[in-house]
Amino acid sequence: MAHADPDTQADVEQEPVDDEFEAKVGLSYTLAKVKQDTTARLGMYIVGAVIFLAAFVTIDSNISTLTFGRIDNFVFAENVLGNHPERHPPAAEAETTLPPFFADGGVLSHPLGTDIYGRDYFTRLIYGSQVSVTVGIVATGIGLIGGTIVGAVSGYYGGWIDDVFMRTVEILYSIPALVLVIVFTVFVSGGRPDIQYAVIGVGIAFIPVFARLIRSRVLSVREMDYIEAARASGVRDRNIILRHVIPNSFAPVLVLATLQIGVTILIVAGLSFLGYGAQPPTADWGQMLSSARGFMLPSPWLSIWPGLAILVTIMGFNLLGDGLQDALDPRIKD
Amino acid sequence: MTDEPILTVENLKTQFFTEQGVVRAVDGISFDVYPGEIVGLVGESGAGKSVATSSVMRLVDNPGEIVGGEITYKNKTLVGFERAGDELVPRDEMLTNEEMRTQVRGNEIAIIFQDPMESLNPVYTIGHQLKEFILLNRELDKKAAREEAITMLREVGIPEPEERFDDYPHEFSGGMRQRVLIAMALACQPELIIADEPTTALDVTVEGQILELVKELQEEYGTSFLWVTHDMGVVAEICDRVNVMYLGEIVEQATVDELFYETQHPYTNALLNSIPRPDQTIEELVPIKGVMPEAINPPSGCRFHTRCPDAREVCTEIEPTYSEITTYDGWPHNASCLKHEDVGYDVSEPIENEARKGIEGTEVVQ
Repeated sequence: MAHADPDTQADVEQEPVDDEFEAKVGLSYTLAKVKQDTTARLGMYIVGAVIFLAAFVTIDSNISTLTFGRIDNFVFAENVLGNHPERHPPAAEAETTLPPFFADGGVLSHPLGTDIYGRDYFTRLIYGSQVSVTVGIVATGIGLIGGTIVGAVSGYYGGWIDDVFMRTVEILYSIPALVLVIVFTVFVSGGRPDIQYAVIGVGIAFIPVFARLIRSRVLSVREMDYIEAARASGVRDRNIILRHVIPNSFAPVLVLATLQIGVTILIVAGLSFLGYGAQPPTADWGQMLSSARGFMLPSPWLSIWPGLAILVTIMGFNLLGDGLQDALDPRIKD
Repeated sequence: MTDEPILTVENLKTQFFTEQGVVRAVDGISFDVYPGEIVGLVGESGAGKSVATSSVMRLVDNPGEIVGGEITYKNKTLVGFERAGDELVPRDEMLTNEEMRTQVRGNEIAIIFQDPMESLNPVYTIGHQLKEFILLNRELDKKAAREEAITMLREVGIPEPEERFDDYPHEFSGGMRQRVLIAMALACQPELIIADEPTTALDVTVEGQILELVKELQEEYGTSFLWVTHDMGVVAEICDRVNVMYLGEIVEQATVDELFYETQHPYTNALLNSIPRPDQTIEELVPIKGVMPEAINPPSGCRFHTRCPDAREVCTEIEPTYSEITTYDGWPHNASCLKHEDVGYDVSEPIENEARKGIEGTEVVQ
């Protein structure tokens, strides 16, 4: 049975904003509350900007000429973007590292300078946002979906199913995430680690976090009369879990997912830095940091820009997550 | 009535296996429901009423289990056991859980729950939920189901059902939500509706309206009801026959007039004395003293002897049998009390119990 998304239905009926019986549920209400909160709004703008950059800004060699003047940039994001192989740099063309435009010797056509291969750093940073956002959303998505299924099933059924599922999850939880992901990546990739293995690994490593949270919610939701009512009217268990239990347990999970995107980005950046994530020449912030490691003294900006990008992005997700938490918590009145 | 009963419960036993011991929540109850009848199931909190109804639907949760007895709905065996060696095992014709779900729950037997605030899923519109139940239990397409849902909402007295169809449960008052739940129960055209204290959470004026509504709908659709309540006023208003439960047992069963005017069991009497009655003027209501003992370790003899104002020595020793005392208009009047048995109740000494003390054991000032 198809049914309309409750959030969109809430949108329709919440038009009279000043109505005191206005629905206290639904996406638009939550967003409205987030907007009232200055820090959450800031987070929303940062996240929005990063996602916009990642989704819509493509600096093609042709377009970049128009937009940023002469940029002999080459981006190398094949792994994520499926870019054209002809973008490989003419290796001998530029071997100079330019500083940002405001430093001595910087030029405005390379606003953030160039890396040791002469690639435009600004362009690479922007392409790095694609990797980060993709990584954050996909890895968190894996953890969210896996964790929700495991947590909801074990919370709803209880008994030995609960024991088996939750003990397994706790074993997973007891292994430090970074170690787990590195081992997983190396094994699955057969010794040639790459970003997609890191993403799947991080996703699996986060299943326990989501499973435990949603299970704790399900334990209280399953005692509600409407669950009993659904059982008494012959709804099958699968539909009770999917349609009644999970939607009512989801608010804290949404908050956690938002916060977790930031954490994921950080961990994958760390993995890339260690060499278990994105491999050169992919433009990834962690990988860029890793490449810049040897040039910290002569070219500190090479480390600072990707570091700042990671910082701002994660801060954005965290602020948004905190704001969502406040907006979804009925105990916090405005 | 000459028809066969649609629901027969015989010697039903449901127990909860807890760490403290086995709780005999329902301990051998028998009753039946005839077509078009409203049968009451009355008793204090903890008497086992709700467990009895969950057992009928086979929705008893762990650690609870139906351990004995027979439940027959029309020709279907909802619960049935046979002896295999030393153990009771389910008989072959007993419906599987899957058959219960597809053949009985919702489309043959529906439940209306106690708390209308909690019985509707807050994340879906009431129309959506109503439609879902109709689609699940009846052969209708989506458009017809929507039409049917709106018809049912109008039927239970929701004004402007087309507009209210897309409202969320929190936009309804308690009484309106209870109407929605009744619509939901009726929409699947069940032959039996189990109403588990459906008016307890409502204020009395709304309760009156809901009872009126149920009576009208019951006449219109001919649905049978098993009406669980602790309110003798509701029983008098709505029921045809009544079962009085105490500590997992049915202690008295009669038509509603018989029960009120020819009360045979002291517990029923005590229940009636503890509510105001328009036909009697009294200074003070008489509450039932003390609390119900735990079902883990029920008292010996008659289970009510610890609180019974008429209890005598013999009541602590001999368990009364549940038997027919009189008949009225073809209906039996059953009760289990030693007063009606020839076991020497009359010559036995009255005993000191909670009924003769005040609440908390203080002396009653008379």
